[in-house]
Amino acid sequence: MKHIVLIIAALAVLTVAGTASAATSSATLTVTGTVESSISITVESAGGTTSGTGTAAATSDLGSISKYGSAPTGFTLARGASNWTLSSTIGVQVVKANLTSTDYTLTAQLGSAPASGVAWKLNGSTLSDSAATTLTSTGTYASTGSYSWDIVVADSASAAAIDNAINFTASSN
Amino acid sequence: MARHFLPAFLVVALVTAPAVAARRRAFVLPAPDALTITFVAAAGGTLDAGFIAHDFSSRSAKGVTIVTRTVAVRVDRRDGLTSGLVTLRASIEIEDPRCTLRVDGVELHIAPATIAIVPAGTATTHRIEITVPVSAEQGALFTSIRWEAAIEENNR
Repeated sequence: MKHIVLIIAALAVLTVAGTASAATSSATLTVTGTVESSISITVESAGGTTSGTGTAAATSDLGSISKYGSAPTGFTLARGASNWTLSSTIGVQVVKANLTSTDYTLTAQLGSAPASGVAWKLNGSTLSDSAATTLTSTGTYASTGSYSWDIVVADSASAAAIDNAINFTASSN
Repeated sequence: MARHFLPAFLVVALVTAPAVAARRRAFVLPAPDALTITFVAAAGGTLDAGFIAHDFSSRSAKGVTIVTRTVAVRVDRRDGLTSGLVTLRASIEIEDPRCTLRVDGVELHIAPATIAIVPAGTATTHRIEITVPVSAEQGALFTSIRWEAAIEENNR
């Protein structure tokens, strides 16, 4: 019995050696590139009738607003002695890729000068079109930050469109 | 007598078998460098993927950046024949832990994987896919792919 096992083993070796193949050749292809870090900002939510949320160019339509009318969708209306305030929030998210930074700074600036008698505020700070206002210097990536948004309209303001843009800028720290 | 002869025969057969097979291969097969691999239009055997930046707007590849390039490979026979098929295999030679590589959809590792069976003497294009997760650090990427070509005996 032991001999039979040995014979089978010997045949197996000869068979493998007989079918070994191949003229072969090899070559190396070097692959290079540069991985760049990047961040992305999106407006996730805002008061009003919004479109484009989840992108970097969202629009919020407040419709016609007045001190004694009703508040636009997603806003509250507070009437003061000489002005009135529409309040809501804006959700902003910043994500990163290939970046070791652990947090970011977020600023906001108006796209154009506000209408006379109208103030735009984020987190209680009045925005201008001439300088950026810092909203946070410790923003957390991939988490939607919520910022209070107030539009304060003086009773003396003319009845006119208040259209504007809030430009957000995120910088990795 | 036969009882002692059989084990002795087997020992001799086992010892001489590799040598016999080696002689058979040398007679039947061309020299190991009978094939040459050429990367067509990849200067110096280098494929530069350029700048790899994540596309946040892409919904299809969340969490990774995928860059695709093509490379043309031609395997020539030194004997001048353009007939026959060649098995192309590829593996990672120098690894960059920040990326994974695929050739024609086959993920590469240290062990060679069969990519395609191609005709000898004809350039064939292959899709190189470089996948970089967003968690990978920025910076220069450097990796290399070892390509192997082989003609099986029954294909000569």
